[in-house]
Amino acid sequence: MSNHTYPRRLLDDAIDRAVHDLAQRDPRPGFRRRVLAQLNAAPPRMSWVQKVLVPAAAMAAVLILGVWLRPSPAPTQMVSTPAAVPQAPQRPPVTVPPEEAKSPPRPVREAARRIEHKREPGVQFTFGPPSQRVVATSVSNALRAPRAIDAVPTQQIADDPPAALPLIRVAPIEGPAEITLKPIEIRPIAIAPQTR
Amino acid sequence: MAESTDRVTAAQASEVTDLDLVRLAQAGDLDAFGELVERNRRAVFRAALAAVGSPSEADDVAQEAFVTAWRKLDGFRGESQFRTWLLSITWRKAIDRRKSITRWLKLAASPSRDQAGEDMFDVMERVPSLERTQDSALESSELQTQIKKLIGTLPRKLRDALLLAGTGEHTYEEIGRMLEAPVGTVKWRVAEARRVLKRKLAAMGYSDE
Repeated sequence: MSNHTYPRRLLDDAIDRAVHDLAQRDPRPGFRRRVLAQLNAAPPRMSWVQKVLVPAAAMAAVLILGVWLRPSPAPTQMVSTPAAVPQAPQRPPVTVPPEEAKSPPRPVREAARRIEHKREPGVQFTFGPPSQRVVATSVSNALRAPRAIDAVPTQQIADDPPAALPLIRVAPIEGPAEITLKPIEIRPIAIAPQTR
Repeated sequence: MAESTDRVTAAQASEVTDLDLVRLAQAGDLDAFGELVERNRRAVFRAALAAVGSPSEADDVAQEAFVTAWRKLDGFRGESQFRTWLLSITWRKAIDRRKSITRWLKLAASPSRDQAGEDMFDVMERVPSLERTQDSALESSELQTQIKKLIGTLPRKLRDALLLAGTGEHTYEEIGRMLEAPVGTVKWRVAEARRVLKRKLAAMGYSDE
């Protein structure tokens, strides 16, 4: 292999020259014209307003369409099928045992069912005597809680033959029962003066 | 051809800053953008050339960079120099081109060409003539050939820094932005590239006194 020795600076100059040769080139003539030709052929630039408003309007249209075309919720269907569960006779809804009512029980709408009602012992009525509607708390006397969704009057249970187990039917939900609250009466408490 | 009064004329072009031209171009003035192309074409082309190594590919990349800059011009807020922003776009385009599979297929299909590009090492037309004897001229030509081949074998990080620094168009800050490296790292890479070249040249028999 031939040996070439150069002055220190010459080798650096040779490297510089090679790098400049490789790196210091110019584009072919007409570069600006070529670029502008491409820009003229390209689609027009959208302003930022168009870039923001057009997609936003499209999204809003999709959302509005989705809300408008959304199907209304269907009423809940009964779970039991006629073939599997034999039909039981319809029982009128009675939710309050007669011994507890301080006033005669009001007629209850057929559709209004009391859902499972469990009474805790030892808790007082807060909003007056029970009406045939939603009660806030439990009762003063313990009661046997009806287990079925459709509450059955005590007398009727006694009359019915005990052979078959009560059928559980899921009644359609008609909506929440109307809530009425008795106004609270605040009576001043008379405090007798203390004597020493 | 009559010039529109609201367009940039050739006489006014030299007095207008890049930022002014950018604002006009953002408003849709294509002539203003054309002036930006003219002012920055060499820097953009040479940056692309440093990455792809081939003048024809560098020309394509440079054109793509300007087209992309035109499309994204609304996103330029003026926080940095327009040229710096443009060079970042150019470098990304060039690297994408360098990595593209079609480019490798083309090079593989033409094995007679050098790996760096079709006329990258066309030495006989590129070596400047020196006032030496014929023997020293040939020796110089041979040395140049060897150096250029060795530059092509450098690790990419060193080669990119060395070639970008050798364009004569880019500051170290601009090179740092393109390479996403601090200025100190760029300077180190340039120096390291030269050290590696000298070591390899020494291994080939070319050495300093």
